[in-house]
Order: sequence, then C-alpha cells, then structure tokens
Amino acid sequence: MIEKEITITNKLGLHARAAAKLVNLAGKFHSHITISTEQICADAKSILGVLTLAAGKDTVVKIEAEGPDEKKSIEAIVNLIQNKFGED
Amino acid sequence: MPDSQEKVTYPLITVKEFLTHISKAELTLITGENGLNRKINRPRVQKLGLILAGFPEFIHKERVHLVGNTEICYLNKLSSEEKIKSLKPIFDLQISCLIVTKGLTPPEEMVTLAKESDTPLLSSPLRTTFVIQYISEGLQDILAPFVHKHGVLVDVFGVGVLMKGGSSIGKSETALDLIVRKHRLVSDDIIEIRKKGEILIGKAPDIAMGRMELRGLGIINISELFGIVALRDEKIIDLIVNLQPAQDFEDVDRLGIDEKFEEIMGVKIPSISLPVASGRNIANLLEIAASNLLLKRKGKYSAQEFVIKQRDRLKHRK
Repeated sequence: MIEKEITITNKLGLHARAAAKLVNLAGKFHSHITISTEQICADAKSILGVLTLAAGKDTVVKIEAEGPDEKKSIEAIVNLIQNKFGED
Repeated sequence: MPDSQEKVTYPLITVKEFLTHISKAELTLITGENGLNRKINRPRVQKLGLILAGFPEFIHKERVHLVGNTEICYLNKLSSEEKIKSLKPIFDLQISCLIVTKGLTPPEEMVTLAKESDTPLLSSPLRTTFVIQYISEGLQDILAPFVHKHGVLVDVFGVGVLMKGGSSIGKSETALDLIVRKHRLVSDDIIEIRKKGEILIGKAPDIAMGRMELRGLGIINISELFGIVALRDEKIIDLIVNLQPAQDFEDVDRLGIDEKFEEIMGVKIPSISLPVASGRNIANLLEIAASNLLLKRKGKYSAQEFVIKQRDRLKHRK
C-alpha cells in the first residue's frame, strides 16, 4: 500500500467535473484507491463518494492505493491534481 | 488494504452544546459560565458517590458528573473544612461539569469552588434516575463514533443489507433493481456508519442523500423518480453482502452452514459473499439472503437442518 498527501490547488476545488475526471482516471487502474480528507474517506472510483468529500481549494487530501498498479495510479492522480484538472 | 482501515471519528461536545442538546434533563447553569467550552467525550454519567469520601481513582474528567440526594446529604453532615477537603480535589481535576439533581441546593462551598475553578455547576429539577437516563440516551446519540464506508445500504424486507465490492461490480444497479421491487435505499456509494451501543446505523452523508450514480446515466435523484417511499433516512445494518466477480472465488460456500462475520468498529455483523456472474440476478439473491436471515432469527437454519437430515440417512445406510 502506498499513500501520498496533496493539496487541491485549482480555483473551484474538487467540483463536479473535476471529480468526474478523477473518478474516471482512478477507474482505469486495477488497484483499490481511496481519497480522503480529515473527515471522510471515499473510494476514488466512486463519483458520489468523491463529491461528498466537498474538498475546496487548499484542502489537503490523502490518496492511498493498493494493488498491482498502485504506484502508477497514485502518480497519475497526483499529476491530475497538480495540473489543476486541466483547468485555470 | 485501504478498505480495511477504519478512520473512526469520535465526536465531542462542549458543555454549552450539551446544555442545549439535552433539553429533556431541564438543566440550568448555577455558576461557572467561563468553563462552558470544556469538553465532554463520554456518554456515561458519573455519580460522585465514593469519590467524595476520598476515592477518586475512577474519575474521568471528560464525563458528566452528578450529585444527588445521597451525596448532598453526606456533604451537609460535614464541617465546612471537610466539605472543601472532599470537593476541592474534584474541581482541581477540571471535570467537564457537575450536575445537582432534584432541585437540591448545593452547599455554599461547592458553589464557591465551582466558581473559582470555572467548572460549570448545573441544576436539574428532575430525579437522579431520570437525569442519568436522559443524559446517557442523548449523549450516546451525539457522541456515537462513526466511519465512512464505500458501499450501498438498502432496506430489504426490513433487513439492513450493506452491499460491498469493487467499483463497477454492479452495486448501484442491484440497488436500483431492489428499489423497483419496492425496497428502500438508504445510501449509494458512501455510507456514514454510527456505532450506538452494539448496533451500527447507516445513513447517507447529507450531500449524497437520495442520489445514486448509474454508469452512463450519471447522478439520478431517487425520491423524485420513485417517490419518497423508495428512500429511508437511516437503517440498522443487519447483514453485509460482499459482491465479487465469480472468477475471484476459490471456494464458494456451497452449504451455508458456517456463520461468517465482519467487524465494523468492533461490532460483528453476519456476512456472506456472493459471486457475481451472468445469469445470476443479484437483487433476487439479496431478497433471499435477507429472508434467510429473518428465518435464522426465528431459529430456523435451513442449511443445518438439511445437513442433519442427510447425516441421519447416512447412519441408517450402515
């Protein structure tokens, strides 16, 4: 299992379209991936789960992954968040 | 695996919140308003009893503390110095608050010590038994620890079924099938589970309530599509069903005589694993699983009865 903490930096935070991008990306990997804030831990492949996090700009989220492609999956998700979901 | 990690949240409340939330106990503040931001994190009420006689071993400062008729009568028999000697160590501990029940008048020394140590001193006109009952009930609700779990919770024939399983195994689709058959959805995808005593209660996080995601259709609103009867605010979790791709199964349970359990926050819940494969109608199977649990609760174990019958027959063959 590997984990990484990262700050949401795009202006709108983890809003609907950003969340959809994240969930679709997570869905491409075989590993079990979770994304969590201080209060809530959600399955990164679940759109309702990720939206429930309601993670705004500057929120620190923790990504955890376990499975055959855990390293790749975390890299890809961290990349997406670092690149502000292709927004801004 | 991230799934097995439990991120349990233990809520706590301030004495100020406690005063407004537990209205049934009819509490009023006598003194110590500067301490209203002290924390309460345990639902049990501590009656001071022997602590007053100099036995403070079991005191937990984050509990609610209480004195009733016995304690007040005991204190009233003591001299002023003895009262202070008995009470001061308790207030020095910075206990969350102290309640005097039955509308009794607290000794002067108690009021002074409460004021000096900024400990909220509260009064209730009700008898100790009721005060303890109302506070414990209320605090068990408010202080119930909770976790968030990935899964779908549905009320099937009154049985709270928590479906788990990897993404896109068909949990939401199964829940939809069940809703069409007049069962009720509690939460899709993410469930907030509270532990109250030895039971687990699941509900949807506010933002996700009544919503469901179906691949290709997006997020839908269940109560608008199916009416309010298709939803349930919260439900006790009675059964965990793990949906797994059939090819992942090494040995499927073919008898059903072994009871399996899964633990959530230390509470054991009966669990089964269902292989998902084409031709298996999962909603149908969940209805049967729920009915079977109801039968078991009535003491009817179909699988075991059959095994016993078969064993008897084997004996007669000899």
